[in-house]
Amino acid sequence: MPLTASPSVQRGKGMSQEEQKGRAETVRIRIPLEFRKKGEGEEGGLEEKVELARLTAPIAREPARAAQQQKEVSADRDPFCNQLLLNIYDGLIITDLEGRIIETNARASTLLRYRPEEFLGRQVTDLIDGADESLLKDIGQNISHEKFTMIEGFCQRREGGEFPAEVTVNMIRLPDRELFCFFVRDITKRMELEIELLRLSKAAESAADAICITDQEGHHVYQNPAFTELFGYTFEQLVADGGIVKLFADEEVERAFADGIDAAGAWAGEVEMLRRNGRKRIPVYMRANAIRDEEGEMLGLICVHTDMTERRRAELELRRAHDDLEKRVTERTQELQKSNERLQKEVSERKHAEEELKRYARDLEHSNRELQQFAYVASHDLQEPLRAVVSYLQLLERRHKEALSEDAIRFIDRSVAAGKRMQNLIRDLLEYSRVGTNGAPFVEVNINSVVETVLEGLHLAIEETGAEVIFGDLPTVVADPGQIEQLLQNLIANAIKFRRGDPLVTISARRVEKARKKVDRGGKSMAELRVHEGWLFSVEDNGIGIEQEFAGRIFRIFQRLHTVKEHPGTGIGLAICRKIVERHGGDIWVQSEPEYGATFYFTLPDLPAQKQGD
Amino acid sequence: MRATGTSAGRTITILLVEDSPDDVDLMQEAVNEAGIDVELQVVDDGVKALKYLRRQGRFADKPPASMVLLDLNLPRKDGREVLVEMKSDRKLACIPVIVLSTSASEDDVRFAYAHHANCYICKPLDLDEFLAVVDAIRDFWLTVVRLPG
Repeated sequence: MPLTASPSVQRGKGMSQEEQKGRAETVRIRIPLEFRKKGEGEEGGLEEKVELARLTAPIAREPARAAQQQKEVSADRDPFCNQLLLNIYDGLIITDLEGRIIETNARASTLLRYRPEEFLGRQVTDLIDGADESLLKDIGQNISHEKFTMIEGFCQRREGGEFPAEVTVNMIRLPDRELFCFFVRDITKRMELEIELLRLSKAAESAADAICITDQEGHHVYQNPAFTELFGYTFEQLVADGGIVKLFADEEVERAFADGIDAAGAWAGEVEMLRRNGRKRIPVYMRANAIRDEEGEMLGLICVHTDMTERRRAELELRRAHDDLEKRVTERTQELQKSNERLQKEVSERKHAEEELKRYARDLEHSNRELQQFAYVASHDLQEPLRAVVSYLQLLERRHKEALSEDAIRFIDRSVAAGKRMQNLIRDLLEYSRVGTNGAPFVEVNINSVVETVLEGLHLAIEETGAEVIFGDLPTVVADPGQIEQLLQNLIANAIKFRRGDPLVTISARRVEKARKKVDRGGKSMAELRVHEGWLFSVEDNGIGIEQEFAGRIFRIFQRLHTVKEHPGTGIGLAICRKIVERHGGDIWVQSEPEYGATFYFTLPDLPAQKQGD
Repeated sequence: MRATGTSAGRTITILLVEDSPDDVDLMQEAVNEAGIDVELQVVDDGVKALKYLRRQGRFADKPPASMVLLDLNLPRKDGREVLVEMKSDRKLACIPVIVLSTSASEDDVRFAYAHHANCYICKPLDLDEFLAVVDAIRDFWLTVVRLPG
C-alpha cells in the first residue's frame, strides 16, 4: 500500500478556520461503504447492535417538548439498549429526517461538549460540518437503512473549537417513522498519524535517493519517485516482477543482502542493480534497515539507494585522466628513450663514419704512397727505354750521316723531338703526382718575398719580353713555401708566356670573410665556392686571354688550349696550381675574355702554422 | 783531346754499375768518343757491385776500381744501398762515387749527397748532352782531380 493519504486529510490541523471553510467542498466527499452482512467484523457487529436499538420515542418539535420526548424515548427503551447506546465508542446522534436531534448518547456529549438535554432540538447540520440539508436529503432519498454513508468532516464543539471526525450516517426505519443515525468518531489521532505519515511520505517522495519499503514478507509496498526514476519501474511493474530482490544484478550480492538482513536487520554496500528497460546495470550504494514496532517486531524493510553512476563516472574519468596522464608520461618516456636511442645511434654512426674516415685517410695515404712509388718507377722505367730510343737514333744520325737521306735525317729528328716531349710529359706527370704526396709542412710565408724569388727565376723571360710585374704589400700566409713559389711561378710564367704585346702582370690580394659565393668557374655553370676566412689572390695579365667556356678545362692535367707549336708546354702547369691550392684548402679559377687578358684568382684560407715534421 | 786516366802508371779502372745494356753500350760509346783511356768494368746489380769492390768471388782477380759510376735503380740491391754500404765501409769509403740516374727527383739528389756521393748527374735524354756530360766527367774527374791511389 502506498503511503498516500486520502484527500480529506489534506484539511490539516494547522489550517485556520477560514481556510477550512474555503475548502469545505474538498471535505464533502462521500465515501459510501458497503457493509457486507457477513456477521463478522466489528462494523458488522455494530450494525447488528444498532439494528437492535429501538428508537421509538416520539420526536418533539419544541425544545421543551423534545426534552420531554427524549425522556420518553429513554424511558421507552429497555435497559440493554440504553446501556448499549451509552457505552458505544462512537458518539451517537439520532435526528429526524429534517436533522433535528432527538437522541444522543454519552459519548456524543463527551465529544461535542453538550449536555444530553442541550442537544435536543438542535440541527445536526450545525454540529457536523458537511452534514447539511442536501446531504440529509440525499441520504433520505438514496440510502436505504441497510447502507451507511460515511463523511469525514469537522465537528463543532459547543464552546467553540472543532475536531476531525469520521461520521457514519444511516437511516433507520421504524414502524411509525424514519430517523437518521449519526455515528461520530473522533479521528484526531488518526489524522495526526496520517499527517505524520504524510510528512514522512513527503520526505520520502522528495528524497533524491531511491527509497522503497517492503513488508515483513518481503512484498514491495512503497517506492518513491526517485526510485521510479532510477530503476525505471512503476510500483505496479515491480510488484508484478517480484519486488526489490529482482533488481540485484548479482546473485551473490543478493544472498549477502538477505544474509545481512536476517542476521542484523541491516545491510549496506555498493552494488550493481538492474534497470528495467534494457536491464542496464546501475551502480548504487544501498542501505537496508529493518522497520520494527515498539516491541521490536520486524514490520518491513526500508531500502535507500544512492545512485553512484555520476560518482563512478567521475571516478572513471579521474582514472581515465590519470591513465591518460600515465600513458602520456609513458609515451613521453618512450619518445625520450627513442630519441636517446636515436642519438646513441647517431653517435655510433658518427663514430663509425669517423672510423670510416680514418680508414679512408689511411687508405688514401697508402694509395698516395703507392701512387708516388708508381710515378717514380714509371718515370724512371719509362725514361730508360726512351733515352735509349732517342740516344741511339741520334747515334745513328751521328755515325751514318753520310749514308742517310735528308728524309731519314728529318725523320730521326722528329722521332728525337717526340721522345724529348715524351720525357717532359713523364717528368711533369711525376711532378704533378708529387704535389699531394711530397708537400712540406705549412709555415708562415711572406708572399712578397716569394714573388721576388719567382721574378728572379724568371728574369730571363722578363727581360726577353719586357714584361712588367706589379705587386706590393702582399700578405704573409701559412702555406707550403715551395708549393706557393711553384704556384706563383706557374701563374706569372703563364701570364708572360701567353702575352699579347708587352706583358703587364698585376698581383694583388685582399681579405675575404667566411662566405659562400657563386663563382663562374667554367662558363657553363655557376659553381658555389667555399670561401673561408682568408686571402683572395689575383694574378692579372693583359695577354691573349681565353674563352670563358674553356676556363674550367685549363686546370685539368695535360689540357691545352693551344698547339705545342703556338705555345710549347705539356699543359701541366695549371693542373699543378690547382692541386697546390686545393691542398691548402683553397680554390682557383679564372676570369677572362679573349684578347682582354685573364685574371687568375686563388684563395688561401687562414690556416694554423704546422710544426716542422708534422 | 785524348786524356789518359792514369794513376801511378796504371790504367784507371772505372766500375759502371748499370742494369740497362743500352745505357752500358751508350756509356761505352761516349767513353770511346771522349777518348778516355780507362778500363770500364760493368756490373748490373748492387750485390755484384759490392762484391766487385770488395774483390770477392769471381771479382777477386779484377782490377780495383778507382771510381764508381752508380745508377740508383738497380735489381737486387739498389744504388742507394750500395752507396750507403760503400760510405760506411772504411776500405771503400774513399772511392769517389758519381751517381748517374734518370731520376731528377729532389729526394734522390738529397739522399745521394747526404750519403756522401761525390756528385749527382741526371742522365740527359739528348745524345749530345750525354756526350757533354761524359766529357765533363773526363775533364774534371780524370784530369783535374787527383784520385786516391
